[in-house]
Amino acid sequence: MEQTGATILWQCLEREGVEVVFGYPGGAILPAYHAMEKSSVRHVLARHEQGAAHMADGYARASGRVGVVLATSGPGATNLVTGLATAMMDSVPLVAITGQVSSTLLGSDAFQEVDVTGVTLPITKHNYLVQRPEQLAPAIREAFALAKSGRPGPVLVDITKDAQMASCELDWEGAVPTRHLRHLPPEVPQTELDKALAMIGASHRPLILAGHGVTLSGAGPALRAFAEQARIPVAATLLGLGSFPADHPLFLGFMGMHGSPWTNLAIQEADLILAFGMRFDDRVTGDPKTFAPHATKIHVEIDRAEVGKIIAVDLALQGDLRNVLERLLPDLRPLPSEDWLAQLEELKAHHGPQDDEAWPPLPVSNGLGPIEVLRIMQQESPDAIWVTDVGQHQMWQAQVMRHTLPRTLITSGGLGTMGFALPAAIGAKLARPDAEVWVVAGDGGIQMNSQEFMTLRQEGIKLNVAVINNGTLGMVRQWQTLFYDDNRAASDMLNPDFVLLAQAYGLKATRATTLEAALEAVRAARSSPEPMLIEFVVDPEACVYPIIPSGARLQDMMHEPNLLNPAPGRA
Amino acid sequence: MFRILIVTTDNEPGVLDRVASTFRRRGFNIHSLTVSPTLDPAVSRMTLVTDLNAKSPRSAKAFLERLLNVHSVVDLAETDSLVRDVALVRVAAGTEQRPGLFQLAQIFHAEILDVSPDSVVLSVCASPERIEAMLESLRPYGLLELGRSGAVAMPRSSSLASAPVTGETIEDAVSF
Repeated sequence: MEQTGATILWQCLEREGVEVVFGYPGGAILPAYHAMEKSSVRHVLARHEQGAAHMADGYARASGRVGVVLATSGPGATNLVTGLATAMMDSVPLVAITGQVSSTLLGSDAFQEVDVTGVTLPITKHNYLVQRPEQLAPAIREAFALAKSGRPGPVLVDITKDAQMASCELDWEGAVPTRHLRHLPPEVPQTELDKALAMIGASHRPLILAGHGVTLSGAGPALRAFAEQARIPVAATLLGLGSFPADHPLFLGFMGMHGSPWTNLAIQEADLILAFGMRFDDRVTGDPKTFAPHATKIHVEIDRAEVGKIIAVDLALQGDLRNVLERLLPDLRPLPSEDWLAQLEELKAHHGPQDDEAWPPLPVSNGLGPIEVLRIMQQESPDAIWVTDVGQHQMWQAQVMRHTLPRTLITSGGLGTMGFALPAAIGAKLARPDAEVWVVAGDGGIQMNSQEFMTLRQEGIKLNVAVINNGTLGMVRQWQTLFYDDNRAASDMLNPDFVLLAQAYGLKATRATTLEAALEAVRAARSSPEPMLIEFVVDPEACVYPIIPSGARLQDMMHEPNLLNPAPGRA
Repeated sequence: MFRILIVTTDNEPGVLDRVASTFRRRGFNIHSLTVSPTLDPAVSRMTLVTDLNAKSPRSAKAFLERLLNVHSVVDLAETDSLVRDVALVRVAAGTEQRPGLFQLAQIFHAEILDVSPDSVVLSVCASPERIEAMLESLRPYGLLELGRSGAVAMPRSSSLASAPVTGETIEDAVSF
C-alpha cells in the first residue's frame, strides 16, 4: 500500500518505539503535522524550537532512550542549533527531524530555506537530506541506530516538503541499517585486558575517574563491583555524578575546576588513573602537562578520537565500558590500598567536616547563602531528579548534592548552555513521570527559555523551579572579580519580578529571603500538585570555591578567603 | 611536514564536505585532495595531503574515522608508498630556447602538449619530488602557469592495515 512520506515518517517513529516528540510546527513540516493525528505518538508543543531540542535532550538523559525533536525549515531548524550542539558535546542520543523546502526549490533561497545539513554538519553525528519518500525509512532507521550506538549523539533528518507529500510503499525490512556497525569497535582483546590487570595489580595509589560514559553504557553496577572488589576510590566528572553512589565509602567526590580539594589532590598523588568513559575536558584536567604526574593512565573509552587527544595514556581500551569492566572483574584482585585510602580520609578531614549539618553557614554579605539553599533542597528531596542550568548554582549543586543514582543530575556539561534547565526538566519529567523533578537555574539562565513555563501548563506537567537569584550573572561576575580586576562589565542584570512572571504563566510562585522561608517554600512546592516557582534571593557576592584558575595545575586551587579552615599548604 | 592520508568513503553527496569540515574546524590545512570512485562505484577514494605541523596526524585520522561515511583511513607515513602527481606547466620559450627545453622534457619524461610562438606546455606524471625538481630546472626559462592534480597514492604492499593507537596529543592546547 502506498502512503505519503509524512505517514511513513510517523510509522517509522512508532516502530522505533517513540512515545513522545517535542516540536513546533511551520510551513515546510506541515505535511508531517497533518499526518500526526493518525499516530499514537504524543506531541509536546514547545514555545521555541531551542526549548523543544532541550526537552528531547532532557528526555533522553533521564530515560536513556532516544529523544526526538521536530521543527520546520529555516528559522525553525536554526533554532535547534544550540540544542544539537549541547547534545553533541554531552553524547546525548537525539533525532531531530526538520522540514525543508521542496526539492525543486533547494538552493534557490526560497522562503524559509536554510542549508540545514550544512549548518548542523559539525554539531551532529551525521545528518540526512531526504528528497524522496523512499529515502525516509532508511534515513530514520539509520538515524536512530546511529544516535544510540557507539558514543551516542544527535542525528538530524532534513525532509523536503515534496518528500513528505509524495507516496511510496514503506519497506521497513529493506531499510535495516548496517553502516553504523562498521564504526563499532571490535571487542577489546584479552591480551589488552591482561595488560590492564597487570598495571592495576602493581598500583598502590589507584584512582577511578568516572565520566558520563559510565551512565551511557549502563556500567554503574559494574563500576561499583569493580571499585569494591579492587578497593579503589572513585572521583566523578560533572556528568559522571550519580554513576557511582555519592554515599559510598569509596566515593571521593567531584573533580575538576570546582571539585573538592581532596579529589583534585588525590589525582595529583595517584600512581594509577583509571579513566572510565570520560574525555579529559579542560575543566577537569587544568594544565594537561601537570595532570596526574605520578600516574600510569588507563583509558577505557568507546570513541577512539578521544584517546590521547588531551592526555597521553599508557593503555587505551577502546570499547564499551560495561563490557570491559565485566570482563575485567573475574580476574580483579583486591589492592593493598589501605594506606592510600587512609591518606585520602586524612586529606578530607583536613578540609573540614564531611557532614553537612556540621558546617557553619558561610558568611554572606546580603541575602541567603546559596549553598544553604541547596542543602535545604537536598535534605527535603534527596531522591529528586535535579536539572541544573549553567553557572554558579550548577557548580554549587554539583558540590553540595549527594547523587546516589544515575540520571538524577541532568545538566549541560560540555557546552555549558544557559537556558537548558527548564526545557530539559520538562523532557525529564515526561521520561520519568513518577519522579520528583526540580529545575535549579540562575536569574540569567531562567530568562533564556522562560517561555517554556507555558509548555508546562499546556501539557499539565508538575515540576518545581528554583531560581537562585543573585541579580547578576554570577559566574561571569566571579571571573571578573577574580581575574578581571573586579570590572563588572555587563554582568549585573535588572530582572523581572519572577513571582509575577511565573504567575502570568499560571504557575504558583513565592519568594524566599530567609532560610526559614526557603524551607517552607520548598515544602510547599513539594506538596503542591501545581508546578511552582521559588525565587531564592541570595548573596550577590558569593563565589564558587575552590576554583582552579583556567589552565592552572590542579593543586593550585583558590579557596574561600573567609574559611576558617583553609587548604593545607600543599600547593 | 606533509602527511598523505588515503580515505575511502561512501560515494554520496556531502561526503567531501564532512571530510573537509573535520580538517577546517581544527585548523588543519588541506594541501591537495583528489577524489574519484574506486573499483566499487559506491565507494570513493580520497588522497588527502595535509600539512599537520605540530597537530597530531593520529587525531586527524581518528576524527575522520568517526564519520559515518568513512570506511577507512590509512596514513601513508606508516607504510612505504607510491605517489604520483600530474602537472601541466606553461614555460616561456621562443624558437631559440626550444631545443634545450625539449631535452629537459625528455630527461623528466614530460610530454609536450602544445607549442606556441612564445611558450610551450609540458605535462608530466611523476612523484611530487620529481615534479618539483623539473620545475626548478625549468625556472630559468620562465614559468608562466602551473596546474597540478594533487597527489594520488597507494601503499607499495597491498596491506591496508592501520597502526595501533599511540599516545600522541594535541600540543599547546588552548585554554580560556
